[in-house]
Amino acid sequence: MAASNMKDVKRRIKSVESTMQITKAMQLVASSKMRRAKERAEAVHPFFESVFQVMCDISGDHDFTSVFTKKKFKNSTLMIVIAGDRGLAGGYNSNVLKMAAAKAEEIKSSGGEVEIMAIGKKSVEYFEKRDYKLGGRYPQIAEGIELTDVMEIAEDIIKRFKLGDFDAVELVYTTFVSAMTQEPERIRILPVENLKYIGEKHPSTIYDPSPEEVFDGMIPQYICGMLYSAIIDSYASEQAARRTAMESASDNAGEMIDKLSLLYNRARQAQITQEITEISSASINN
Amino acid sequence: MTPYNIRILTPEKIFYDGRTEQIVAKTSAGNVGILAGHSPYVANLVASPLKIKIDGEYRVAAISDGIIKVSQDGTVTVLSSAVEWADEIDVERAKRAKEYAEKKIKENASQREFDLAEQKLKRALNRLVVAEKS
Repeated sequence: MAASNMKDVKRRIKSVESTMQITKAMQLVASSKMRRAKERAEAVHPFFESVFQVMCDISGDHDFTSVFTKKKFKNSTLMIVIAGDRGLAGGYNSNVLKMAAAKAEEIKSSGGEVEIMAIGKKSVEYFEKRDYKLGGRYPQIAEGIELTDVMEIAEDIIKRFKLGDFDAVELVYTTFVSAMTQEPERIRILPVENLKYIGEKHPSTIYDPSPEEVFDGMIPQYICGMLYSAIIDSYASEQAARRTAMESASDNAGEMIDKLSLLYNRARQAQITQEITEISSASINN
Repeated sequence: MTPYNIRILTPEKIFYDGRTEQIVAKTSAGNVGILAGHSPYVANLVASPLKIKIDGEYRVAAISDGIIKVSQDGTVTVLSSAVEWADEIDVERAKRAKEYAEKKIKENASQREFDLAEQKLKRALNRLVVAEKS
């Protein structure tokens, strides 16, 4: 191998090394962000469980009707799709977006209408490029999310649901299974389903002013809790996916550096051997 | 007064978990005071000051829309998307939110934006009122 070739190898080693520094740094940042997001995701549970418990109690104690539990058949759906704000997170964005798009196509082909509410920059970009009705764009809210922001989104959804803009609301997001696995998930949040009555009935409970009104009044808390936890869950998943992706990128870079160093050392050795041969043969010829 | 257990939960954290002698909250129908041994009760709360009596003294917190529940065993749970102790309210932020909402309302935006701004204004005003009281 010639000297110029050796120089090339050296330059490549340097460039891979600097890439590895970046991927390592991203990995560390993602894993610390993931830890914090996981803590926040766990903090939602007591609140949400209590809200759901009260809703179940009401449905168990009384026969009641609410606009929020009625199933209508206009077949128009609002789909809230939560994806990340940035790329370089392995299959995180594409998995959740693919799932949402597949479901949206399914509804469309069965004669229904779909409106998308996109949360996260990648989600907004994805659905803007395609032929979908976008009913809301919320890029870059996941990091440092504030409850009041979520409350506003929730109130907006409820208002439009009451007006009959759509008769079902679905949420597509990614759930954090473990640091290694994150799975896209789709749940229906309106009309409210799966109200299971747990425990004994308490018909003596006073609902002020009426069970119906208390139930309807709880819907904002319910939707807000649902959205907030889905956004945080997705955010934790995004960070976990990025951490894994960056970890394997760093590993690959390390392997590449090893290979290139081997190549470089071989070339260096070959060159030295050749020089010695040249010198010794020259001295013999003299 | 006999103290009883109360839990105040928000999606972000367990805001308060302890004993109280009395709480005064504002439901959509008006103020209710709850003492120990209250019968099971569930009601919606509106954005308002929430008074909690601890060791004979009232502490005041600003609460946004929420729910109050007295369960069979007499424990009280308050659920709300935002609760802040009066002395922890960021007055500057509340003022900014108020100004922003007022501007939106004056701009004569769409009904949808108007409603959102109105909600925002209510919350901001409540926080300012509570902060001033403390």
